[in-house]
Amino acid sequence: MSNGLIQGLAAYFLWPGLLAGALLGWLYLWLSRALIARMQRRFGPPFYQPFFDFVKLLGKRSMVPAGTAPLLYYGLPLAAVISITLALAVMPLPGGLNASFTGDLILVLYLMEMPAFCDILAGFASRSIYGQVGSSREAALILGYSLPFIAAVSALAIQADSFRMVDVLALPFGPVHVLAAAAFILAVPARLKSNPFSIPNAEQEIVAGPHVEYNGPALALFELAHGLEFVAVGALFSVLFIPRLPSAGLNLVLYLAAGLLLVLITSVLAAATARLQIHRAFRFYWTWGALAALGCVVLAALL
Amino acid sequence: MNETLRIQIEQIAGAAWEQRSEHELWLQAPAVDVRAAAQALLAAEARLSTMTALALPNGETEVIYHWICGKQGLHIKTCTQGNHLPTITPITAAANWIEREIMDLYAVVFDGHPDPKPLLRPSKLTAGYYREPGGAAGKAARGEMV
Amino acid sequence: MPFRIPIGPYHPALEEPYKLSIQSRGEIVEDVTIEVGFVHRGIELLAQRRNYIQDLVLVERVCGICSNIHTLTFCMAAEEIAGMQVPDRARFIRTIMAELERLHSHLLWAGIGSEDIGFQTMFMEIYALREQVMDVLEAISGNRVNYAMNCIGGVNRDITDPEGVLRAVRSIREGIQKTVIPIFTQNRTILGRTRGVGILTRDEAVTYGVVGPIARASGLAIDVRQDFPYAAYEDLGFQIVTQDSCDVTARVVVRALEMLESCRLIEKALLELPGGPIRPSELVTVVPPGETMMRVEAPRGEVVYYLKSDGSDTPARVKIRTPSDLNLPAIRAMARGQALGDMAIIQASVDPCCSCTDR
Repeated sequence: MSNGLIQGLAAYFLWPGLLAGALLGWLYLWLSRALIARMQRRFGPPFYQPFFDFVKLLGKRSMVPAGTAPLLYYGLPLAAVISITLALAVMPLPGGLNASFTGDLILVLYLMEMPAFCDILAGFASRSIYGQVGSSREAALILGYSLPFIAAVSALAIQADSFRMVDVLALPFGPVHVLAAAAFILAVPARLKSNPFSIPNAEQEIVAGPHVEYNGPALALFELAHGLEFVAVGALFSVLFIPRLPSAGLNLVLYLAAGLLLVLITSVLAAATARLQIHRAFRFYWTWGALAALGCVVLAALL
Repeated sequence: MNETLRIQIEQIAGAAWEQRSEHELWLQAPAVDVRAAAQALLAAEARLSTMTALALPNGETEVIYHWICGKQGLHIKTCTQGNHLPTITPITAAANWIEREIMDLYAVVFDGHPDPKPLLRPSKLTAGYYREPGGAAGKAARGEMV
Repeated sequence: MPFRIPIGPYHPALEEPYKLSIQSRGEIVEDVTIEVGFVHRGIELLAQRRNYIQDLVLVERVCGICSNIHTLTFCMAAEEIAGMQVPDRARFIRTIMAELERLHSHLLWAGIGSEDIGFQTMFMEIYALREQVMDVLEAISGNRVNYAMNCIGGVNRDITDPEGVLRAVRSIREGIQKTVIPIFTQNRTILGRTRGVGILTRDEAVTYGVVGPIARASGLAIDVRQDFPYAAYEDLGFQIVTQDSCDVTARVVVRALEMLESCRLIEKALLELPGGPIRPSELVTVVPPGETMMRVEAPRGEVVYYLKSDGSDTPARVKIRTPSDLNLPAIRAMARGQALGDMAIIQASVDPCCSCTDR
């Protein structure tokens, strides 16, 4: 077997891909739950809880709703996990693959949207009215948060004049980074469907939204994809906005710190807010999100 | 309650009010036109508080309309004819569930009710399952010591 | 595309089983049908098979939240027929219990309302505060839910430590003033979810005959404590709370200000608590013949009892009308034209009590 293939497999399955991503994702999910619990005068779960949840769900017998093709039912969460892991694997993280090619940034953006698309399809495929309403809300929300998210990434790409992540990484740190980072962070709570943008899975209205008919291993995979999404968003943030240091060890610390920062921001926000209705969430992103998007793209074009 | 409403209801009912306490007026009127009374009371800004049904030994049902007009409770007692009464739901929406409940529990038919579905009654039971004597009569019927 | 979406009988937004079938076009609600009867227990029928002492235990179980109100109304009806005078100390203790119950019920509602708009932190805060009220209720009556405080002619237990209760009520009032009211009136995400949502106009409120905080939030000054004063409300000087904006915010504000008024009434009642007996020396088992109608203001609105006695130890008829009976159908008027996402908070703003409605 060639060296490249082994390296590729290691990047996909070990670091920074599936294994490291899953462990880190469970850590982030736990930290978010524990932080929110502390802010609500609760104790919160022990650190291994997300892992136990995953194992427990894997061991459950699953029921495919009548009228849904089993291939679709199991395929969608699997596709979500596979694509978000691939996104993690191709990111230029310390100790990672470092295989760079033109347009890898676009590939990462596309792969990172996959879990959301799988969610939407799963909601419609489950034939539950709650799932369908949740899916249509999630689709609307994607239109909202994608604006600042894509604009933040594009602004840096414009400045670097390239859609290669290595080139973006090499950019000298400047004002565009600050503004683009703000736009990026604006999009994060909705990406992770945490409060106040948790309307697609608002349990008090539509039970569990797109996941309402999911159970057992299929739900475990969706939960895993959610954890990996958390890690991927943190990884992209550190790749784009955190200046690289010469030491690989320090870079690793910064990579973890970026993830923890996002966990902290989303948890505090989630604990301090009520859930916004879909039209308000949409309006928020099409005013403040649009302003931030416009700001960073214009600034990038001018500088 | 103003004097005109008082007299108006007495004319509709063909009976006189009985003052039972400071705030409560009762009216015994077996043949009252409940719809006309409801219209007169609503025009005077009264609201329907509830309706009470009591099974009578002769198989008919006594129905009391409890109205509130400001700080005055008005209770109009009427009696069904063959367990039928005209509905007042089209006049006041508040009567909708109250009448449906009495249909379930006492098998009184409110003629012209727009939505006569069971409200509380489980499908296994037939309407009128509350029609049993209470108090001493009930105890005697059940063979308990009075 | 029009579709029907069910909320209930089992749904995360509901504490009790009832069913809302929402007819909606996209995210806009066109019509709602409401079904109840899932926890129908036949309490009225059972009540006319049992004696007055047993009935007190029975009617306490009509509702798990406002249990005290039901025994209070039942006792007051029996006392009215028997022409009994209740000792002053018992009247004051009844008022204190009723207002403590209102505090815990309104706090429970505020917690569930926060949960329904996805604000879990607020839910935890409010429930921590509610726990203090439950502690006071337990200290007085020995029970957390069914207090068994009322008997025909008086109350079963005395308040032996008025200073302790006073201290607790003052700390609860501080909690309401410093956390609950500011967050509900200032947090932008909460206001975004409640202002202008679930309008029930004054005319609709009259048509549906709604009672309690719903009526007062639609500008109707209806309150049994003011219109037909009972227990010690006349001595304490009750002040009614109304709002005119007719939306969910108005219902929140009415309940919040009512909690402050409850704290004031409890404090005043404790300070002016008269001495003397708390119940007649002889247990009342038989009520003379007669009929009466008794109204009491429960946390959710007017509770009505009709009691008919034939002179035996068993009532001839007990009719119970709870506030949710009249308030629940009004959800239909509130829901039309609203966003689907607001249905959870709209139905919760009514504070529906289904075991009350079903009895």
